[in-house]
Amino acid sequence: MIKKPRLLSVLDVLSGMMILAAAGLVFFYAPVEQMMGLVQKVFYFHVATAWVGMLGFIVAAVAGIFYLAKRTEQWDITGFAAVEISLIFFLTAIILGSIWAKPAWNTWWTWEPRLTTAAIVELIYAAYLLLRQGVDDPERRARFSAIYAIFGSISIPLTFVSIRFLRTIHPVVIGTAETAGKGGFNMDSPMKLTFFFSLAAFTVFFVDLLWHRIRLGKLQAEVEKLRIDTYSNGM
Amino acid sequence: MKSYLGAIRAIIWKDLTAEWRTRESLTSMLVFALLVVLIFNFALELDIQAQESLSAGVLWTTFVFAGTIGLNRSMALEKDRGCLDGLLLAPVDRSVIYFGKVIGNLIFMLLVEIIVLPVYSFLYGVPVFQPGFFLVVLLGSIGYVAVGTLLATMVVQVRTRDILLPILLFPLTLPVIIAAVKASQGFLQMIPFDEFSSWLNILIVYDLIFTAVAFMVFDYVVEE
Amino acid sequence: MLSRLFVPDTINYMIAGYVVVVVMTFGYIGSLILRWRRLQGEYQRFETLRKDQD
Repeated sequence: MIKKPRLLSVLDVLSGMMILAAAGLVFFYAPVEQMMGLVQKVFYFHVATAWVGMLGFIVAAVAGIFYLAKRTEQWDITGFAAVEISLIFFLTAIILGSIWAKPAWNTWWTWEPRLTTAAIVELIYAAYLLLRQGVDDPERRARFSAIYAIFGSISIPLTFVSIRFLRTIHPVVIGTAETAGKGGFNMDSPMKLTFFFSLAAFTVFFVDLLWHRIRLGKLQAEVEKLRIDTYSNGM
Repeated sequence: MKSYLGAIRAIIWKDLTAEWRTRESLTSMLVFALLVVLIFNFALELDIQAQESLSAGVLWTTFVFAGTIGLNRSMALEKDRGCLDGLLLAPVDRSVIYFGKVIGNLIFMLLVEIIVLPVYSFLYGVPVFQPGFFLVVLLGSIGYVAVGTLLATMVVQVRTRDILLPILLFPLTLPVIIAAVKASQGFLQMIPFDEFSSWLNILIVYDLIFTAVAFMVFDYVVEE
Repeated sequence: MLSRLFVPDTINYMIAGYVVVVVMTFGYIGSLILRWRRLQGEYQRFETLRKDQD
């Protein structure tokens, strides 16, 4: 039986409370934005989830570098955990962005640089999962995923730059820079406070989830070893 | 330095002579590329007006698809014939293998492009015969093959190798493809060079970054 | 007060958005708990197996 560390329990409670507090701020403290109406309240968690998604991919790339340098299973587990959490949060952020886009620009999807890059990021890390699935040898799997995560973290900013550049040179009919300007808004100070608090809350939540996921990964590796031991001895 | 280049040349030469014996890769890539052009013709109703703006996209999609076939095949052959293990045992730097394979794959891709471009130009009257455009084709192919060779080497060691390469490769090389399409569009639509020259610079920068990173991590892909 | 009338009614979108957040987060936490329990069970099974063997 693996014992749960005290600090992790503290972190569980803390992140839960912070998320609740952030939700409280969003619904009861932040004013209703006059141009957009209530849907603007989606914005706080939209940015927060996207931020956590980004954070996860940075963690995955760093873990990849550490894995290649140190070759300890720990770093592979960390990288995989970070990618999985990021996939969930990025997907949430994309859906929230889409929900925002509908009333703001009257379309579910705009080929806006950030949204498009987010979609490509999802595809890159979905490919990462498929790659992991295809390799049976744990050492090789760890090595390949580390390489792919590092490559992904280099390609993603370049993709963003390209798409951004593409849109500024060639505005498209739907979701142009001008309509994006109309969909935006200025933040007053209660909004700013809510915004930054949501970011902080999700960051703590991310650390908490990551820790849990790493523990899960370690247990999984443990069980895998036991299985091999048992069957090789028993047969 | 001289032996380094000699070793690279030996690998390229090996690939080319092996290909010359059967011509399997080149013919499959070529036939596939022409089929893609054919499908686009019907799918997009490529009449004279439409192809003005679409040609660059159609051409790069064709190159990229055909390129995947070539990459997959070139590494799969190495693996199946046991050549990869032999290469790895050879007393040369691992980067020799990487650059040898990159240049070999690049030659295949360029050969296909050299045949597809005149055909495309003949069919649709697109002005492909411009030195600037050829430069874009070369730069785009370099970036694509630099990443593709690395990933193909990785994928042949994986159980699901036949389907995995495009899934891994397309999203990663997207920046190169975007820049290549935009720069090609500039040349094919006869837009003044100043308006799209920055795409050419971007393409060069991406090529450098991708090649450098792929070169740095290649050791980790083939170690054992 | 008059400007209030012009605020567009987008409450449905807001509700949809937060439902998505809740479903995704709790779904993921749920999957973590489920996987943890399953592995824990397997772990114990192997432990007892090993004790039997000794």
